[in-house]
Amino acid sequence: MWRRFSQHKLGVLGASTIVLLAVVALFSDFIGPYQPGQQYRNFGYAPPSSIHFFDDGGFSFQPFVYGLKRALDPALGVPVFKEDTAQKFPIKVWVEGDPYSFFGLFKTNVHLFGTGTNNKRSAGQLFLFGTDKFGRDLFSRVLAGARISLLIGPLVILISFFLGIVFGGISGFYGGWVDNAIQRVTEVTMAVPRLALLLAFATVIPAKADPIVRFWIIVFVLALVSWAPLTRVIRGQFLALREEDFATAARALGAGSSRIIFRHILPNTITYLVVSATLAVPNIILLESALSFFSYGIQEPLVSWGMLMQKTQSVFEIEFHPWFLIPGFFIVITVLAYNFMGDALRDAVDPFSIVLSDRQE
Amino acid sequence: MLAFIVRRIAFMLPALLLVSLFAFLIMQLQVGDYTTRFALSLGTEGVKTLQERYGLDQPWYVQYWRWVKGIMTRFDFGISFQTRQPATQQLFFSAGRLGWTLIIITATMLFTWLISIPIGIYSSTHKYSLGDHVATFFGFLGLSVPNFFLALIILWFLVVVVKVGPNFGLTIGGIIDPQYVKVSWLSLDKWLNFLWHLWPVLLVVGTANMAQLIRYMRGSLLDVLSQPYVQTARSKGLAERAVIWKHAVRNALNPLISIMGFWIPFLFEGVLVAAVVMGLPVVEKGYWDAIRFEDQYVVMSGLLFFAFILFVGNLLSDVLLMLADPKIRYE
Repeated sequence: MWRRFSQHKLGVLGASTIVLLAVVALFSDFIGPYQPGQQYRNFGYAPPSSIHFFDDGGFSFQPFVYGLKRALDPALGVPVFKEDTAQKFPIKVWVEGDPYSFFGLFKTNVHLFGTGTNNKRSAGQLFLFGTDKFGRDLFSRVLAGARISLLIGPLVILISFFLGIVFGGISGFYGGWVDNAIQRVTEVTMAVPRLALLLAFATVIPAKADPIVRFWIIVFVLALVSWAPLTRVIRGQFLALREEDFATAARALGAGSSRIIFRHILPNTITYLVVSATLAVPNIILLESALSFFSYGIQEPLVSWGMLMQKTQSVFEIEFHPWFLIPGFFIVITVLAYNFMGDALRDAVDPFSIVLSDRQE
Repeated sequence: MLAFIVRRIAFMLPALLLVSLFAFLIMQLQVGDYTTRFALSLGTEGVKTLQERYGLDQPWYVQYWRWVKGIMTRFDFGISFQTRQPATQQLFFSAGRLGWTLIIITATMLFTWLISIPIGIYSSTHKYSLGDHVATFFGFLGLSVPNFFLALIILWFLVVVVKVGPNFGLTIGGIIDPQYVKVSWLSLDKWLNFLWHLWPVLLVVGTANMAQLIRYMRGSLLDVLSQPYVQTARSKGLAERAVIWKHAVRNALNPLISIMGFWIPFLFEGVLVAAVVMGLPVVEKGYWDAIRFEDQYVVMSGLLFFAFILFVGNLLSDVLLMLADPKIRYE
């Protein structure tokens, strides 16, 4: 199976992208030049810094940025930032910047790269993706947002998978009225569009809830709207496998139901289920981003990609601060990577048996 | 077939009842209710009178029973706290919302099928060609772009690249510019204006489904093309075009019809996002406003309505499948 997966180029590309993003998310404090919550009030709405290799003196191997200078846009009468070519700030590696705690182990202020000025007033700042209203560096925030945006998919799937195995297993294994009741409930949950259901659930969360608590409630709610399709898949598998000879043999040997379920049926269907789960992850990411975009999801000080785009709901922001759209590309890349990986896994496990689609689950 | 339809509709009622209970319980989970926001301005007494007026002081099962009884006996879905109108009025009929939703959904369906079926056919008849790879790639891309992001990119394109707005004579957002609202539908300008507002909506709502449809069509047609009867048709000396269109495509379409009902929730998600970002007068916008104002009866009616639409969609796709495929019989 691994051999077949590794031959699927797009699948490998998807998997490596996810690994890369995960590593970046893990070390985002170090890789990002700034801390995601750190405000540089002098530089609100600064556009992405352009990195230069050439100046009057010709080419230099070390890239540099020009200093930021506040100016007034003559046409619109709003403050904008211009490059001050008199000031040059080389981009250095391993520089000092905002302090942070490295995984709670020790405090440091070393960042992978930056201008190294380490001064909130200095004109030499490196805002790769620009800044928001409060002068927070969007690039560092995107890196920090990767944590939640990457984590939430697998986390939700794990929970709904657990629910799916319990309910789908019971439903498929015992049949009868239990099966009927569970099937009716899954039908009802699947009958309502998930975004509508999510929004209704999200209004239940008290506005003053702690952001971490809110995060967990959202994970749980996302699991609630996505367990039903998984339950159906698992039920189908159990219905088919409980009639197989090995299940009958186990029963003849006197094995109890839980032993048959966990020792005999589950191992036989687990690869199939893992693939279904992988294919369901992209949807969770998309749903979370939509929910956070509509400001019913993740809230400050936590950061997710959808949340970073909340401000773009007005046309004014799109027109004058288009860099606010950048986090969206990260959502696309991540979801694309998961889709490629899921597709390759499906092909690798069994090219014929899985007809499950990624959006319908 | 008539018996089948009647039986399905009869099954729909208990399912909808379950949905209604479900919707009601979610709204009950809320901390406080609509009156909470007036706690400061009205004081405890005022809030109490307000709660009594709307029956919010009763235990939940009494409230639920009243609501369901109202629906069953008077077709009364409760009132909207925002406007004091009936919830159905608020959700469906103000600004012709129901009509626009149906128009947008139908237009999107037509648009996605008209574009993706031919692409799917091309993709499977030219398997592993450059065109197939391009179609597959765009299919994946379409699946991976969040609706709201696509909407934002289109808005960015319109505002920054095309520079619509004052100097273009057209607005963005809405479904018809204000100056055309009162003009009769016989005027060509009104139609052009409508179409101008419609295409971004079609893209936002349809892209994900289009990607999905292309993949399904490709897979389904590839399956059919490997069937013996296609080989027979070829060996009879039929033209390739006849083989594909008369023998293969007709059969390959059946599985697609059967999953048509599944797309309705996704269409809904797309319409909701498009409605909020682009400000469309649709049912989904009414639902969104109700969510924001904790207008519980409107939210509950909305959830019921969406479930109803899904059930009807599933029924329709089953009926269509029966018409398209004579092999299928429902007892």
